[in-house]
Amino acid sequence: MIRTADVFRLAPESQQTLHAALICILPSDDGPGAEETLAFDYVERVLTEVVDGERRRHFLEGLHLLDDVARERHGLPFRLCAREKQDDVLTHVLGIPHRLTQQFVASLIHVALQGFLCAPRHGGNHGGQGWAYLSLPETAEAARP
Amino acid sequence: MSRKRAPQVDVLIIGSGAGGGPLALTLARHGASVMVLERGPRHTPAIDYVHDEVAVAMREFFGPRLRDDPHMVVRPDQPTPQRSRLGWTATCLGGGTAHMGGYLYRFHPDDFRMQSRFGTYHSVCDWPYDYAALEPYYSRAEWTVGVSGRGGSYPTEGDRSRPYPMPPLPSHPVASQLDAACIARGLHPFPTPRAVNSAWYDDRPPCSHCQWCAGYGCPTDARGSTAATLLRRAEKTGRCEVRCRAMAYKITVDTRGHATGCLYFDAEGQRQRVRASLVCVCCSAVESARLLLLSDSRLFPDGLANGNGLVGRHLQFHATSSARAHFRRDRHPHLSLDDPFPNLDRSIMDYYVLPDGVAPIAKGGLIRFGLASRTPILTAAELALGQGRFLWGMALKKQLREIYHDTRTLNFEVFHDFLPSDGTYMTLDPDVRDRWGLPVARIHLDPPNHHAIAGRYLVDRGVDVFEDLGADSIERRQQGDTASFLVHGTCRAGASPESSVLNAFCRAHEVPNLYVVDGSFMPTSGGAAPTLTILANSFRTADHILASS
Repeated sequence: MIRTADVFRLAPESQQTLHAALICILPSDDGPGAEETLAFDYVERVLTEVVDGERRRHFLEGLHLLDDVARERHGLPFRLCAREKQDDVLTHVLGIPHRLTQQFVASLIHVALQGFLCAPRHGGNHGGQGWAYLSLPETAEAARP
Repeated sequence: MSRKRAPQVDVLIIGSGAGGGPLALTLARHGASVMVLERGPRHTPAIDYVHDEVAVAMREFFGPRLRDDPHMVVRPDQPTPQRSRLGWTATCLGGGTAHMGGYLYRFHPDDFRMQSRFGTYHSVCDWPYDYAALEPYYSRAEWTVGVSGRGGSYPTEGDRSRPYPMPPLPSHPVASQLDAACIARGLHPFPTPRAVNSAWYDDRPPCSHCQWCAGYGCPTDARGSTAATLLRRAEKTGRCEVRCRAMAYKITVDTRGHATGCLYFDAEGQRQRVRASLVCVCCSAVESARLLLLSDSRLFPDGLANGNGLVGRHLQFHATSSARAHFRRDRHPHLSLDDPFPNLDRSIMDYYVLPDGVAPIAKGGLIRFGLASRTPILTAAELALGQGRFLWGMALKKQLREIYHDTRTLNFEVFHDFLPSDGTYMTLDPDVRDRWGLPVARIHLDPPNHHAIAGRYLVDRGVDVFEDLGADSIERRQQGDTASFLVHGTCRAGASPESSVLNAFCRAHEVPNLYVVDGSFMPTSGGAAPTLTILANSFRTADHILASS
């Protein structure tokens, strides 16, 4: 993590891992996923502006763990692994008998979904594409600044 | 502290929810000068009550912020205190009524005589008054707040002196199939009574059926929060002042042991004082007890009105059990599941008494059927992470689309008693302070096993109905869990000062001009959602105060 003038920013490697993890959670195979909806922007904002230091630290440790497990099992950082190998990494992390690993995967899935389906003013669900994927009617929230 | 002379009022009401609202309206209308202190903000519904899951459900909109104002919870299997929202209702004008689903059931007559009817079990006892004494006030609450329903719908309902002021809300067509399935089992389904307008009422519009109900504010005030229904009218009398962002931290007393008002922190964090001839504490059960314990003095060294050590004891939440059933639309054309209408609103009270031998005592509860909310993040998260699952990738996306395009989900929740016992109570936390530097509440949670056992039985009965409807899949979710928002019991009402904090009119035995009027008074939590009972009791207490003055 890089800290600049009391504004927390993700280190580039963590950004890349997070980006890849979000796409793994919500791929673009059959319609918009995390990439098209800019879920990363939402999640980055949550990490830097919303959550407290302890929760942020645990989440970042989880991202590092994804890379560690990916390197150990597949010889590559998480972001460079093929989809099925990324699935394997997540499954393996879930199997680690520690409360915090399961919490991390749950948090990752939950923020990915938030970024996919939130009101666009929070930085995700770009253009309401997440809602459109589910055929949800556009609401006033879509236009709210 | 401010150097200005503290205001003097006839009645000080601390808290603006289901307990404080009826007091404010009744007493102001009858000429009393009233001040209501509310620790949270006043919202403007049309602006603040947005249909935004992140802003409302994930950013602690109805407060408080867990890091600033937690309750600390200890359990036998988790003795290290944990920060929790357990026991918080809301911190805003209207309290929990600002975001309630508005299920305003009357208790059954048996709820008032739990020990006589069901026997001895832990600290279960009878109420100091019966259903007949409260019935007129149930009607007053229904007509003042505005409840839509149909009286006389089921055979075990208590006597009713007036019908509901509004007919039931419209229901999704599947309600007729659900009714038929229930009736075939000998059950008696009835429209769920709601504090939600089915017609124009009290200058407030009918419900727009937006699907953003429980957990969210109502932007049109079609739902009857105390802010929209009671406090609004109380303020219009010109005799009721509401001060928001006012955190009461000590009730003051004189040398005779009479309450004289309170000290509070204002919105700027400055200490202020209010003087009053009569003080009513209506902060919801955990926080009301906390305020009494914080109000220790030379005359009340263990907390105000706590000479017998019972303030904080007999804490009860509500037991909650639930399940959901998924129906593929193409397999059930007769259920009209393509109809997007969001409300089902059916309840059954046939399992209020359990068969002998099912549970430690034969007290059951009420099953409320509904259509599962389709707010997207909640729906997706329950799909991905519910019941211990971890779902991601194309499997997640595929099932998510199926949920929205191909299926419809019915659910039910069970309201049933969280029975009082010595194991569940609250104290002041010795270590943790809130943002004002005050000890927070520590909740000791060790409920008896009745509601887990009853919950499993009641879930099975609700599942019976889903199976009769031909559900494609059913998930049992909570079975006898603890509901966070419904809180009771910490200042038990009773006839004896040795075994209760309050008398039958919610007046503190030890302090003649102090009342505690929220869920704190309830000796037992009831087998239905308690909000209407709290409202009715508050109206009853208000009448008593008028008669006594």
